[in-house]
Amino acid sequence: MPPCDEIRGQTWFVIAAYNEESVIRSVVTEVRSRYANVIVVDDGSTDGTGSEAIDAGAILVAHAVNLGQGAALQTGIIFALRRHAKYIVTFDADGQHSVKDVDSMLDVLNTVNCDVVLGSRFYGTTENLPRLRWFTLKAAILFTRLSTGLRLTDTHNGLRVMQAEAAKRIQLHQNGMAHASEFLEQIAELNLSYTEVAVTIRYTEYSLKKGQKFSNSLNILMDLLIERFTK
Amino acid sequence: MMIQPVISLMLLGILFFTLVQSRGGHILRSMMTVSVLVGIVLTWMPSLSNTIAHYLGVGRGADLIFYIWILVSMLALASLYFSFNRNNKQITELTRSLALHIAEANTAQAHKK
Repeated sequence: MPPCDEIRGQTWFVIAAYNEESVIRSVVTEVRSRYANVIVVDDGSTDGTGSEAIDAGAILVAHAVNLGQGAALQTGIIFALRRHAKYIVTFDADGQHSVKDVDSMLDVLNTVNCDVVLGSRFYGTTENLPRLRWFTLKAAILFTRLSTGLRLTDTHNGLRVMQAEAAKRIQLHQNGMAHASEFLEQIAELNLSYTEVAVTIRYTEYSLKKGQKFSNSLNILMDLLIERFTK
Repeated sequence: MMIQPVISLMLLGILFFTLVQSRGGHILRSMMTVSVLVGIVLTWMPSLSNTIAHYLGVGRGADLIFYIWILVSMLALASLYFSFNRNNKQITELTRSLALHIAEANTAQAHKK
């Protein structure tokens, strides 16, 4: 069941974008066809991402220099909270998420009454998932289970819906891609309630090119360990 | 030509540069002063490093200096890494507050129109 207008009006999308000029307009337009409040955090892009996002009707928050996806999301979340958002959605800029999935995630957030709803591609349908990507994602799931105790089926899905109260408590310090694991670590540490909902991920040639490589998972692991020791 | 005066002068130059330029605390200044003084003494009395090395159970003085050099380099790297990390966090805060400030000003202006 699609959420009522009141819930839609209280929902803010946060999209972190870095050099996504060619897709950001269609992604924002797709989201805006169902939800009015879209924040695009332009993370120091060198192309026309910012102006494309504004033209598509998003509110632009622009980092002067490139900091990384984690930092961009945190900036967008702070901005959404200042705009009195009640629900915050993190959504990828490369067009791999479907806005229709957010309807059911919001529905679950309110009916189950939990703090965070996480999208899972392994519950739902995944289109064109390459073998190596599958292996990397499964390894990440195992790592999350061992390090946080959370039993999840998908740990690196950028589609999340959270209550404002939960968003206020979660503070992402990992500027880069390690923020996805850090987000889950904080759910565990802060004892937030969560559930997973099946979502569809569209693997296009573009999203695969922009996505994480297997080799980068070691860098992410290193970032997480260093953060843990220097906290 | 004897190399001792050249090395001693270079070490004194480094010490002078560190004391004038360094914004580090007393620990860094004291460590640098001690290292340079020890360096100068060892340059003029190389056999002393052998005596200390034997006392510590290391074969040669040159080996002992090499080990210490590796340790000091590692410490310097770690300290550089932490200061780099601190700077990164400051850049993040700065970039974020600037971005939020401009975006809020823009939305306030859009509301006025």
